[in-house]
Amino acid sequence: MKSNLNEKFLILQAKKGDKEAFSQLIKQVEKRLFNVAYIINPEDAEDIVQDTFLQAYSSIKKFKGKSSFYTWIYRIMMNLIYKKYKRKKINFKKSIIKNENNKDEELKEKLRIALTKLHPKFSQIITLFYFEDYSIKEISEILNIKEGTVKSRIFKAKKYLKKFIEKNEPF
Amino acid sequence: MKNDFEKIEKGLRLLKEEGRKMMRDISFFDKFLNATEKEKFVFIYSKWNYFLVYLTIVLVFLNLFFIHKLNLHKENMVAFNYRNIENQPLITEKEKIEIKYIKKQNSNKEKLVEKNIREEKLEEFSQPLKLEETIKFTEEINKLLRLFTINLNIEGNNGEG
Repeated sequence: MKSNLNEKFLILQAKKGDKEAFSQLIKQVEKRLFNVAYIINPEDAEDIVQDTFLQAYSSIKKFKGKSSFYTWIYRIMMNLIYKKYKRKKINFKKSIIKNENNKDEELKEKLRIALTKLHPKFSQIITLFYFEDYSIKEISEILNIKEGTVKSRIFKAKKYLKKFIEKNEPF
Repeated sequence: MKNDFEKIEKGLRLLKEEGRKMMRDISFFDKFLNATEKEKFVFIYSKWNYFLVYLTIVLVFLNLFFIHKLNLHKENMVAFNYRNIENQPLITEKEKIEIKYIKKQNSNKEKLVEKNIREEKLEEFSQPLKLEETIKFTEEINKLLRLFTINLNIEGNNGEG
C-alpha cells in the first residue's frame, strides 16, 4: 500500500516534469523490463528499454493511473518492440540453424523472432505468464481483463507461435 | 492439443532460464538523463526547424498577399485614370480655359485656311481667259454649232421626205 502511494506520488511529480521522480520510477521497473527485452531480443535490449523510458517520459502526462506504472510502461515497450520488428525481415542466425545438435538454440531464436511479430496484447500476456511467473488471476488484475480472456489470449498466442515456428521450419 | 504446445512451452522456458542467467545489474538512470538532455536538444532543434518552416510559409503568403494588393491597387489606379481622362476632373479651370482658347485658336486657324483656299479658287475663276484660250474656245464652239446645224438639216430632210 505504502509503495503504491509512493508510486502515485512519484507519478504525480513526474507529470509535473520532475526528472528525479521519473528516475525513481525507472529504478523500480528497469530490471524487469530489461529482462523481458533481453529474452525477446538480447542484441537490442538496452536500446529498447532506453527508448521505452524516453517515450514514457514524453507521454507520462497521458498516463491516467488506471493500471500500475509497470503495466503501462510494459505496454509501451511491447508496442515499441512490435513496431520495430513488425516489418523487419526474419534473419535466423545461420550458425545456429546449421548446427543440428543445437536444436534448443534454434527453437529459442525462432521464438524470439515470433515474439517480436506477435501483437502486443498477446506478447504481453505470454511474457507475464511465462517469463514473470504471474498467475492468470494476477494477469487479469494487472491488465484489467477477465480471466477467461487471459486464458484465450494465452492459447491464441501459443497457437500463433506454433504456426510461426512450423511455417519457418528450415528442415 | 496440449502436446502440440509442448515445444512452444519448452522454448519459452528455455528463454526464461536464459534471461535469468543473464540477469545483471543494469542502471538506466544516467543513460536516461543523458538521453533526455539529447532529446531536449533534438526537441529544441526540431522546434526551431518547425518555426523556420512556418515563418517561411507565412512570409510566402504575406508576399503573395502584398503582390495581390499591389496589383489590385495598380488596376484601380489605371481605372481611376481612365475615368479621370473621360471626366477630366483633374484639369483645373485655368487649364480648361487654356484648352478652350487653344481649341478656339485652332478652329480660327482652320477657318482662315479655308477662307484662303476659297479666295484662291475664286481668284482663279475670276481671272479673264487668255487670248489663245479664247480663240480655241470659239473654235470649239463653232464646231459644235456646225454639228448642230447639220443635225437640224438632216431632221428637216427627213421631215420633208
